[in-house]
Amino acid sequence: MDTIKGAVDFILGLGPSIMLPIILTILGLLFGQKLGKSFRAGLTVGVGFVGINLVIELLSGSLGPAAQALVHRLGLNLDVLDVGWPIGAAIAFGTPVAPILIVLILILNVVLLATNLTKTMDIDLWNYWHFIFAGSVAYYKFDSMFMGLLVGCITAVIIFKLADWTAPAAEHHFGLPGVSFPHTESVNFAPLMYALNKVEDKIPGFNKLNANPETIQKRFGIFGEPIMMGVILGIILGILGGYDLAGILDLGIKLAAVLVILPRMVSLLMEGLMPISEGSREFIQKRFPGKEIYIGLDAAVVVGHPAAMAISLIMVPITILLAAALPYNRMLPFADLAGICYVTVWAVAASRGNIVRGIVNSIITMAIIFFVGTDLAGLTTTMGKAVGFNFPEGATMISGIDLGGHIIPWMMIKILDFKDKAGMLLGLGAAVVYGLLWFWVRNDIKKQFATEIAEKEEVAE
Amino acid sequence: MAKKKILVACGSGIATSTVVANKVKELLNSKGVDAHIQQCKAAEVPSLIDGFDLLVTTTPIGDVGNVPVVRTISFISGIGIEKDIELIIEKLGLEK
Repeated sequence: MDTIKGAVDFILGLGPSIMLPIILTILGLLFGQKLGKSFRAGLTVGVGFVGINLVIELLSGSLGPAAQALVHRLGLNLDVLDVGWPIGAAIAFGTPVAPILIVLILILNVVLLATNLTKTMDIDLWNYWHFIFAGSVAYYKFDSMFMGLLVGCITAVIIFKLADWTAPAAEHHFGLPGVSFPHTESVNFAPLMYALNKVEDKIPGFNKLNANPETIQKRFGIFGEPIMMGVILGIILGILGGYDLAGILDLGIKLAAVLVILPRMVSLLMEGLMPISEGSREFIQKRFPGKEIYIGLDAAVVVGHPAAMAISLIMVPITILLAAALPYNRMLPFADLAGICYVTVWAVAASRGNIVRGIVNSIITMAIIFFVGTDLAGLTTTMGKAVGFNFPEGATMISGIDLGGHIIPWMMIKILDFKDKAGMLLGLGAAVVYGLLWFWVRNDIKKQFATEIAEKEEVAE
Repeated sequence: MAKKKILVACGSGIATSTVVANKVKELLNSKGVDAHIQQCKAAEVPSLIDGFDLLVTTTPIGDVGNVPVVRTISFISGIGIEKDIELIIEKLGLEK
């Protein structure tokens, strides 16, 4: 027994860049892939981790001191770095919860499909990282594998139900029939967004407003280009932080470099996950031939929708202002400014693409995210260090906009933390409000698309 | 035959575009076509698209001028791959 435990501890202690190639090779074989292919895929992920670590050093070495300078010079208490969802995903895949949860949630999905408790077939293995993130937050919070797996699985069940519920919007608003989006940090905002839309319907005057997405895209297009956004943010932060000219320019080019290089490193993780991703897709799909299901996909396939794109661009400057204005926020928005589109998908879909409502809904989404993101910063930092990423010693904490969008897991770990009574009440209160709002709008999506659904049924007859 | 330049886009240029880029690369290699494939995020497309022969995207993209566009989710969902492959070959002006 001791030797097994010793061996497991040894492998975990090696860190994800060595552990993941081993685990992914085994998982690949488990899903019926060839040894050579599985091993190469595992190595690719390991290499990706080494690459991500290099970018993190660049990121924390440049943005970290800039955040400190903001604290000292302007008294802005923004000492939590937004490292972005790509690093969040890497951290999640690097935790000990990850390999177990991947297999567990696949099986859970098959069971839920077989018992008709969900129609969503989640073949998007990459985005299992959101469930793994939920599970690993609980794992480190409670120092318990059981709690980690429990929170990961419950999150997955709720997200599958939300994906089922929003599937008519995927078909009729986004034009993708037979598809749903079990994409945690997007879809967990859907009930809140449909509730806001219901309220907005009743506000005289406001309920008639709209704006043109094309104009916004043209005017704010620059915020869609990471390289430009990095330079601009770096220069602004350098000026605010009281850097000299050389320092300002240096920060600009380094932040641009982070935003350009990071996606390439993280795409290595995706490349390496492809064999088990395909293996798991076949594993589920061949079990349910001919069954009426929704194929669960990444919300990335709809964020290019004109209204969604316009909102994600105009929200860049608004998000930065919000970060400074919200008194409870400690997060300095950065890497996820390029990923706002994911958390605001339903802010604009709930209003069927109405831009004015989309902006209002997105602002409320962000206000929630800054609260949750700040609250989760301590745990996220612990996790990042545990998987071996080199954050600078001492003051700086990490979190992210996308990570702060995990409101369902956040509620769960608040409720389950019996030691913190105030936090428990907060979590319970949030869960009750969330549940009531979802119940209140439960028929709204079908109502929004009543004409389209009726037409489809006529054709079917 | 001239080298084909293909831009592959998705939400962040990280996940779904990696799947598509790999599949398109495999496809063109198997046909002996020399190809340059670049990944990007949807919002970058307007500033990058000049000089590319084809845009393959998993997410809707507005105005890209005269460059032909193939929107596909089949490489990710596993359904309808053949049709999208035919479309890519046709829009690149290759023989079947």
